[in-house]
Amino acid sequence: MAGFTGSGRRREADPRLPPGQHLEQGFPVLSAGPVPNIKRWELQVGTEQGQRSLSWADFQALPHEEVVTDIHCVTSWSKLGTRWSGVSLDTLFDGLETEHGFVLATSYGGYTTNLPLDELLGGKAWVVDTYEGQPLHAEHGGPARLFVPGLYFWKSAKWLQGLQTMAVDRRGFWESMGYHGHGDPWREERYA
Amino acid sequence: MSPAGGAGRPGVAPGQADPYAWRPGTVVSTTPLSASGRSVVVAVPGLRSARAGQHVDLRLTADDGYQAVRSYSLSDVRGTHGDPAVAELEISVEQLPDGEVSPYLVEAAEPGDPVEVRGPIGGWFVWPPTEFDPDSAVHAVLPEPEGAPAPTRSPVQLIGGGSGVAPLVAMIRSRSERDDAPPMRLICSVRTPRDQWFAPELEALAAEAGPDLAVDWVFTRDAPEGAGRPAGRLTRERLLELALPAEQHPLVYVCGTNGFVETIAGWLVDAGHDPTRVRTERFGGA
Repeated sequence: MAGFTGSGRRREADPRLPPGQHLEQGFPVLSAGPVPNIKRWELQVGTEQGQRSLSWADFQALPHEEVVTDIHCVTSWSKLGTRWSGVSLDTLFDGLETEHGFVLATSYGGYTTNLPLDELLGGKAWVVDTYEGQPLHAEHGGPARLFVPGLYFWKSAKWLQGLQTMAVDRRGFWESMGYHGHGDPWREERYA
Repeated sequence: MSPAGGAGRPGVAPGQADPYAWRPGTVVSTTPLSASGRSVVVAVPGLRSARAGQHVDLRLTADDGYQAVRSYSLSDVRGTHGDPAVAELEISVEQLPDGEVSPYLVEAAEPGDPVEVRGPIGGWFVWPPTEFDPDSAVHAVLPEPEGAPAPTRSPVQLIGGGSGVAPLVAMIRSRSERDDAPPMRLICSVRTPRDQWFAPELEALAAEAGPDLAVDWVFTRDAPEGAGRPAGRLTRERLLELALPAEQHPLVYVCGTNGFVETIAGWLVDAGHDPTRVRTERFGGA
């Protein structure tokens, strides 16, 4: 028996890659369904204390930050040094008090994902509308997507429509189908 | 969130077997599908029952310890539905130029070779479809279209490009195990007649099932004698002519390269198909 020899072109190890990840040069697209048709974009941000609704113009008027960082998809590709620009969730939640510990992100088209609030605040998450200096393409979640680079990329919901805090954690789309509630790539929290 | 602390993988309570642990498996058999594709059957003792449309992660280890991990859709899950001690799964692999794992699976793997398996994985691109908990966030935001039959009762349209037919074949094979299955149709786009995977088996299953199972091949580069039309890409008109109409609210499963899937899904939604009923699975880069 021959067995796997790995005699083909091997992928190089890189300390920036979490366990089980490989380096990707392109930008693969993964979505569960078609790109949604967004007629009028609006972003809802809410806690048990209040709601905020932002039009595209409102969103554009907020201070944007540039973020250069690595992204890790649960399907095992990682992309290093990607450049994004968007509005910090610290800004979006500023002035909205909450006792809640979790957030449900919802998207145009029906996608949802759940995240702990403390993974979203403190400079860890943004709503981004620019990738590599260009307006975010629809197939990558444009006009705007959630961006939480510290977690597997399915948590960075494309076509973001709303962020609502929750007292009790409720599973989102992939989390209802065997994917992990948290999704830390360095702990390889892929499935649960 | 995760109840586990301390040792072990997060999310798995102490003493509970981790359903996503790597399991040792062994290649049992291989079957050529085309010049560049073949099926590989792997025995994985203890594997959970898999659903048609799911995938597994495979891990291969070379003698010097080098490891490679890849995901493959299952093309047959029926071997996982009996005694877990003798569970077998099948994957169907197209060899990629400059690939690292696919050349081994398509050209070199032999019965007896070891391969580790993690999974099965996935709950959206599966048939029969998952019935979601009414309290789940998924159910709240994906209401059923008005007038549509329940997803498990809906007719099914499968659309595959090239090796994207693999998980769709698993669905058709699983359908053949059931008495109460809804009608199913497959449209499969391939380059030439030599790239038709599983054609004799699919045609036999269709002949057996009568009008409730149909298979349509579209040849993009080279059509067989008697195909009745020249080779060419699947067009919007041809797709809508072959596919179940939107009025029947079919569950649609599209699998192929990103470009194929994006184009087909867009045409279907434009033609009135419910976007939440068009389920997609893609491979390859953008």
